[in-house]
Amino acid sequence: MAEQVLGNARLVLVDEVVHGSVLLRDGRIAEVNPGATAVPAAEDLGGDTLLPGLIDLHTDHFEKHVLPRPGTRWDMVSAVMAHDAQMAAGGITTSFDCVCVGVSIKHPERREIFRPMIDAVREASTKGMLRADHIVHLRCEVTDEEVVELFDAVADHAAVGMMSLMDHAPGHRQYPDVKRFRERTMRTLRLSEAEADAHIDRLLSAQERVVPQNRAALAERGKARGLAIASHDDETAEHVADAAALGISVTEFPTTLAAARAARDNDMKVIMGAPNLLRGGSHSGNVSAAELAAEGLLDNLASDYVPGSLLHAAFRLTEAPHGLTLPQAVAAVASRPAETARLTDRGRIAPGLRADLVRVAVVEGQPFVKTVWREAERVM
Amino acid sequence: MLQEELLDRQAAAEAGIPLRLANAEVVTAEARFRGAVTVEDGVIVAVEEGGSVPAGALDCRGELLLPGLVDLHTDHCERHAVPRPGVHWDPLQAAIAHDAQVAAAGITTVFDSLVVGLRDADQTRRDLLGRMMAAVEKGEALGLFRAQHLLHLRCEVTDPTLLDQIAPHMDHPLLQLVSVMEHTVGQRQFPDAEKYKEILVKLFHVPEDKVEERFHRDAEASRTFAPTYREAVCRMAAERGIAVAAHDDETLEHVEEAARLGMTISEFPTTLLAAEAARDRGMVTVMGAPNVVKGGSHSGNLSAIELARVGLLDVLASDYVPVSMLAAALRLAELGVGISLPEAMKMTSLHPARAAGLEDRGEIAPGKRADLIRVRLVDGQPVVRTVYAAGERVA
Repeated sequence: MAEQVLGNARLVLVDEVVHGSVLLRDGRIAEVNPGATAVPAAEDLGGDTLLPGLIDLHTDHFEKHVLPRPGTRWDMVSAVMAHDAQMAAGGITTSFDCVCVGVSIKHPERREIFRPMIDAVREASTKGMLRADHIVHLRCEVTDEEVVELFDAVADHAAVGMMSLMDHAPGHRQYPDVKRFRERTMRTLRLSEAEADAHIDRLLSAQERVVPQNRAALAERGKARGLAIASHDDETAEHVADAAALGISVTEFPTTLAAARAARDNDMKVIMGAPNLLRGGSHSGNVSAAELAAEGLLDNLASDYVPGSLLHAAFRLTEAPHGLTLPQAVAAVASRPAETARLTDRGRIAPGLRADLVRVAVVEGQPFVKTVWREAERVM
Repeated sequence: MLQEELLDRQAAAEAGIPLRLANAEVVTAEARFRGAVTVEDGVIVAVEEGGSVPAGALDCRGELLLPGLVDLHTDHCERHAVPRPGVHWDPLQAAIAHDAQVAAAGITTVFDSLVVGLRDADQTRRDLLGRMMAAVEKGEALGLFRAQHLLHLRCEVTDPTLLDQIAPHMDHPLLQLVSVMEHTVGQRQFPDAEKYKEILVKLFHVPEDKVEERFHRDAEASRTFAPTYREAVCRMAAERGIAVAAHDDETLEHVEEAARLGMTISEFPTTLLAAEAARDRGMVTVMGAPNVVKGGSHSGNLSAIELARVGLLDVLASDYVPVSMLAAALRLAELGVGISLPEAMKMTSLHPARAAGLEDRGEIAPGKRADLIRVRLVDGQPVVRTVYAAGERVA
C-alpha cells in the first residue's frame, strides 16, 4: 500500500489552521495529525502552508490556448495540456473548463471549436496527460436559435459536469445600457451603425422569441443529467427568481447587489470572479465582488480569465477590509465550490477525501504555489 | 507511481546523495541511447549507457530524458501582464504565471521578451516595461521561479523615444539579449501592405482611417533616424557584452548591415536569401517553433521546415506558444528532413544557450547544469512529466 507523509506544514483545515502533518494513502488523505511527525521518511514542508487543492468552477482560459493569436488555431490536445499546466500552477486541482455552446457574432469560430475542445479534454484526461482533474462547463448562449440542438450534441459527453445559461442581449444583465452596447459593438466588430442596429435587433428579437423556451429547455436537460446549473450575469431579483423557478441552484457573476441578495433568498449559491475581487471591481463596471463579500454574499470564487487569481484572491480575503480567517477564505475556493458542483470527494483536508493538496509559500504576504499533488501524486 | 515519487524526493532531500535517473531514453548532443544520468549539487556528473536501474535510482521506464529547453524569444510574459485589453495584472503575479507555463513546457531557461517602442501604446502599457523588468528581477531574487529567467529587450527603431526608453535599463543584471526590430510597410515582416493593414486594424486596433498616416510616419522614421538608432542600440549592447539579434531580415542588405553592426543572431528571417546570407556571415538563425508546428509562418513568410530541410535552421524559439518548442523539435526529427532527434534538440537547447553566451548548459553532458526534462510520448504528443532545474525538481 503506497503511503507518504507530508510534515511540518501549516495545515488549513475547515475551521482552523494547525501545524502538523498529513498521511496519504492510495490517493486519499488517511490521517491529519497535529504536531511534529515521527515518520523519518516524511517530506518536510518547511513550515509552508498546505491547502486543499482549489476547485475552479469557471475558467475561460482553455480557449485562449486553442486560439493563441487571432486566426491561429492550435492543436486541441496540446492546448488543453498548456491550459492544464497553468491551472495546476495556480493551485487548481479541479478545473471546470468553459466551452461555449452557441455563439455571439463576435466569436463565430466557437461553433466549430466547441466539440473538438470537449473531445480534447476527455482524450487528454483518459490518457493521463493532465495534472489537474478537468470537467467541462458548458456555457450556453440562449440567444442562439440553435443552442438546444448544439447542447444536445454534447450533453452526454463523459467530460461534461456543469452548465450555465448566458444571455448576452443588450438592455439587461452584463449590458444594461443599449447605447453603450451599440458603441462597443461598432468599435470592437467594426460594424457600421446600420449593421450594429441590425445585430441588436436580431438579439432583441431572439430574446423575445427563443430565450424563454431555450432557458427552460436547457434547464430541464441539465437537471435530467444531474448537472450543476448556473444562471449567468443575473441583474434583477426577477432574473434570479426565474432561474430558481427553473430549478437552477447557482448564480454566476450577478451584476447587482439586488440579484445577489435575491439569490441568497432563493437558496442559490453565488459565484464571483477572482479577478474582480483583486482588481477592486468588475471589468465591465458591475457590482464588485468586494461588496458582496462585505455583505456575506460571496460563496464561491472562480478564476474567470486569470488562473493564478484564485489563490491570490483567497489570500486577499484575509486582509482588510474583508478580514476573513484563512479557513473561511479557502472555503470560497475549495469546499464551497465542491458543494456547488456536488463533488463530495474533495475540497477539504480531511480523512477520506482525495489527496488533492497545494503547498504554498507565503512571501511578503503573497501566496506562491510550490508543489501540487493530485490524488497524492506530485503533478507540479 | 508513489514509490517512485518517494525515491525522487529522497534523492532531492538528502543532500550528498546524488539524483540518479536511470533506464531513460537519454538524448545528448550527439546521440540517443538507453542510459542513466547522475546529478550532484545541481550539476550532471555522469552519463552512462545501459538500461539497469541500480538501488536508489529513479526508473524512467524508457521515457525520454532531454536537456532543459532554452528559449530566446517568448512574448508570453507580456500576455499575462495584460490578460484582457485594458486589464493590467500585477507584474510579479503575471511573471509567476508565465514562469509556470514555460517550466511545464520543459523550458528551464527563458529570455522574457519585452517590447520597447510600442508607438501606439498608452502610458500604462509603456510603464509596463520597467515594472515587468523589476518583477522578473524580484522573482529571481526571491527564488519564486521554476525556470531561470533572463531578459530580452526588443527594440523598435522606428520609435523616436527608443533610446531614452532603453537607457535606464541597459545595465539591468538580467539583460542578456537585445534585438532590433523595424516594422514598416513594404519590407521585412510586412512586404504586403494590405496584409499589414489588416494586422494593424485587427490585432493592434489602429483605426482604419489612421493606417495610411501610420505607414507614412514609419516610413519617415525609417528614412531618418532609424539607421542611427540601430547603430546606437548595437553599440550600447556591445559595450556591455550583450548579444544582439536582427529581426525579420528580408534582403541581403539587411543581413549585411546587421553583420557590420556586430549582430550575431538573425531572428525570424523572412526569406531564404536572408537566411543564407546570415549563415555566410556566421550568424545564428532563429525561427519560431509555432512556424514548424503549424507548417508555416503566420504572416505568410519563410517556412521554418523548409529552412531546416536545407540545413539553415539553428535555433527554435517558442515565440508566442511555450508548448510549441518541444513539439516542434520532435516534429522536425520525425519529418524525414535529415534531422535526427539529437540535432533537433540542439536547436532548442545547446544552440540557443551558446548564441546567448550561456556556456554552462544546453546539453546532457558531465559538468553541465542539471537542467533536465523527462518526457512521455502519448500518441506522438509530448507530455512533460518532470522538470529539473539545476537538479531540483521544479515541475
